[in-house]
Amino acid sequence: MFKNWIVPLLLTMAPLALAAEPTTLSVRIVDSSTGEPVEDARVIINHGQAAEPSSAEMIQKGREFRPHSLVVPRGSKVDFPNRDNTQHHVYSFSPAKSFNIELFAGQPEEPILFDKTGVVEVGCNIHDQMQGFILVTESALTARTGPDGMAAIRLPASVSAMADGKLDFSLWHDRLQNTTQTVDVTASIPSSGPLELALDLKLERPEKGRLDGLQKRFQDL
Amino acid sequence: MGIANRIGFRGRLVTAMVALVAVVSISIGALLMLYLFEDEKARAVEQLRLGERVAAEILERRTSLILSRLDVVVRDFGFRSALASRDRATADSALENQSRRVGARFAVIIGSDSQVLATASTPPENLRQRAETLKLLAEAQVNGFASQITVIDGRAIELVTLPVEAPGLRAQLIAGFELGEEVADIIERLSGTEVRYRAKLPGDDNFQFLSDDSAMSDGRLRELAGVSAENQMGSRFVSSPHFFTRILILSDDPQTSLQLLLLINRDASLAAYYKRAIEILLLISGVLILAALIALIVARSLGRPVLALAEYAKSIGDGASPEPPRIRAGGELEELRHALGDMLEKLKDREAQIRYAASHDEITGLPNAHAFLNSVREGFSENQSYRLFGLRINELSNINDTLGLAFGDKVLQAVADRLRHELPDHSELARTGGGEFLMLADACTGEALNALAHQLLDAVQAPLMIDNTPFALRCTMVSLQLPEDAQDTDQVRRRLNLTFELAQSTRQRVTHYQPGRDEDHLRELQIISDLTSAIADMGLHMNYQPKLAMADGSLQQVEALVRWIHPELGFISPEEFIFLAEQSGQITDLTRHILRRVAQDASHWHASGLDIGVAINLSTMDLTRPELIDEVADAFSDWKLPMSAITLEVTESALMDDPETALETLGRLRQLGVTLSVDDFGTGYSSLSQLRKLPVQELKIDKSFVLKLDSEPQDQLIVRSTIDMAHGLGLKIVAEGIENREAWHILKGWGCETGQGFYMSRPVGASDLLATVNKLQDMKPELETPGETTP
Repeated sequence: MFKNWIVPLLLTMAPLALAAEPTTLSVRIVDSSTGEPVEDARVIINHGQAAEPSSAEMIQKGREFRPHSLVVPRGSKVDFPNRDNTQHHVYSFSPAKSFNIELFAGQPEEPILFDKTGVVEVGCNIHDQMQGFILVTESALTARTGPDGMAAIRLPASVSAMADGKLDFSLWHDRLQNTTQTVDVTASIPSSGPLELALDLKLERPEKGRLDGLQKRFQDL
Repeated sequence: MGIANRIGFRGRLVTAMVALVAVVSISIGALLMLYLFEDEKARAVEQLRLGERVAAEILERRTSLILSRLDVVVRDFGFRSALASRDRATADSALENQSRRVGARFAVIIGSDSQVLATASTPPENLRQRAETLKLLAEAQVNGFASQITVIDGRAIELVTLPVEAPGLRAQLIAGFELGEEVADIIERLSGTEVRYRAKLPGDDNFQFLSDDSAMSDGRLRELAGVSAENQMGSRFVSSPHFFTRILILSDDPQTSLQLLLLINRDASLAAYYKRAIEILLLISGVLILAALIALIVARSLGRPVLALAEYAKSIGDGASPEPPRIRAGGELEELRHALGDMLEKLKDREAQIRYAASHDEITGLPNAHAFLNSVREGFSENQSYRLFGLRINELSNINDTLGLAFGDKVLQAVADRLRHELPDHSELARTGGGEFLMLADACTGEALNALAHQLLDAVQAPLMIDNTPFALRCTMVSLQLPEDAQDTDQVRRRLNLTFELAQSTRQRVTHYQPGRDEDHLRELQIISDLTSAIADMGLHMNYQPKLAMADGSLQQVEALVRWIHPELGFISPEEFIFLAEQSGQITDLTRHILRRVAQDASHWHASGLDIGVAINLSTMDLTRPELIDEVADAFSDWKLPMSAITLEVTESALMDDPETALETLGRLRQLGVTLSVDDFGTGYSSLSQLRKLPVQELKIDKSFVLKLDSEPQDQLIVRSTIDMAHGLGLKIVAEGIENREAWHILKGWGCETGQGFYMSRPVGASDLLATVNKLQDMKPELETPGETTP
């Protein structure tokens, strides 16, 4: 489902009688089908102040984008240096950012500016199996789950003291059914213990080999 | 079996052989046709199976090819860029370009949010709403690709779906490729079968063909359209009259089911099949005709010798001695011929044995009576004259009884040897039964005859030693002169027997036949044979002679006397024919007849008021029959008078022949209440002691003592003492043969109770009895007073 990424921050200006203490929110992401903890899930809390733009890198090494996924604030610039001995043709058709870096080796001419929030899929026209994701966010409250599926996010007082105790989360993982979008959920902060959120995931990243069977048959002939 | 009997051996052989050949060849032909048919079917099945594999492979290859082409298309960067440009015109033109490259009929790109990103060659209107499209998209999500054959606008179309994915691009390509004549042609070329697409369109119950079928006739098309895969469980092979079909289901969508038909047109093979059938039929007919011919020839070659053998057997049966037929064939028929030949030999042997046995006496080896009479017959036919000698050994049965049959046989052999030895050459000798030998010598008379006869008799009667027993025979010899004494064999036999009988009573050593003897014998034979009809046809007459009481001259009884006037021979005396009836056994019938006649006559005169009893004579033989009592009782069942008024008269000799039986019979007759009388008393050899025991009530003095009673003192003595004796024994006396008044009165004076004789009355017929009664009334004075002189 598509959500409007521009969340109106009605609560930020509200002077509260009792300024709440900043708290740390523990979020646990599990696989909805197996109940296993999910590693490397991105958790974004869509409240609080906008993050400051920054610059980041997504290098190509061993015919892979490294890191495989990247979270950057809106307005950030990302560079795509090539560390391989082959050239790459990095491009994206994602609506959040379409770009095209023709074949290059080493450092591209200039970094790419990501000025829209959303998930940008990055690929290489020469090497189909290369895939990378850049999550462009408005929010600064982001985290990544560890092997135990846990992520800790330090909430500013303004956020933790929200009147109704409900938060809007955007979750992403590269094993989502649709990796081109984040999964947006609203959840209440539990009074104690971590907040547990479930994701519908594929078992593992499918091999990019839909014609393998056919090719095998041709080889048999 | 009736038919089998009628059609004979040849017909049966032909029938059997033709039937066998027919059954065999028709079976073979039928099997052959079946095999051909099955073979055609099997080959069709095989070919269609191959066709199916080929078709499946080709379709799969084609799908693979399309997929691999499209795979290249959807990964083409330019194409993806055009799609990602979000410029519809650019996207359409790029898709158009690519679909032309891969030979798609139409193509459409659908974005991840189901909006159309691009189209090429105007895809069908409702493509995205179609069920199979949705199914395809879903399948492609999972597998990365999907293909589906369906019918669109009356064409077989293969829809292929591939995801178009690029970083930042998520869409689905749906392209349609027509399954057309080219694919069909390739399948036809590779498999050797014809190929047709057919589809059942929505709202239509029948299949429609999607290809151009102008080459095929409507009937065949209808047949093909009707071929259904549903009723072929498991196998999708269908055979219909003109096609073998295999059905590949390309799409089993209930809306539009599309099928690929692989056909083998049977027209050519059916034509060949019928041609074969006709050839086989012709062959079978030929073979049948040949078989019939062979069977006929075999039957002829078999039948002819069989018929010849049948003829052979028939002539053997007729007693001929035919030459055996020549038979070229060996084996069983040869066996049969030998068997028939052997049979002929054995028949001849057996016939000779039988003939010998039939014409010879087994004890002496001499010809028997039959053979001898044949010789006699031949002599008659050749008008030769002979002297026939007959010799009988007296007492041969005694010899057999006392010394045994084996001894008797030796006696016969000895006699035969002696006769053979003594007879002149060319004479015939035969043993004709018992101790009888007959000889046939040349005619001789007078001295020569006597010399020969005595020579023979002396030879036979000379003492002989048998088993160290000296033995002398007594023989009777007779002779006849042929043909003077007899003209045929019947006469020979009869007159020979007569002469032997005569020889018993004469004391001569040799008895010659006297001409005329045989006529008496013939008269007796005639009497015997005519007596039966005389009894049956009432040819006998009954006469009745009165018996009067001497005391008062009253008529008490009449004696029944039978009389026979023969139409040719005239009057025959009762003594003669009764004697002959006793000889021939007719006496039984005669007695029964007389009893009935007498009872009948008596009932008439009783009805007219004459109460007179009857006296009836019984024969010796009657007394030996237990039935006599019942016959008497039956005959006189309506008797009016007391039973004692019936007197049965039995001769003395009859009583003395078999006294015990006679005594028993008389006793039972006595129980009936009849009076019993001894007839002809004084002529037989009566034993007076027997007489005492007999249950008789009267004696009847023989008339030989009474006829001359008045003049013969000896007779008077006998009669008088007999009367006294009878009275002493409590018996009454009847005197018969009273010829005159003197005799009547003498007897009356002696106390004789009853008298009978011509003096009073002759025997009269039943109708004259009344007149006789009246006449006797008139005689009464005479009978009561003795006259001085006889009238």
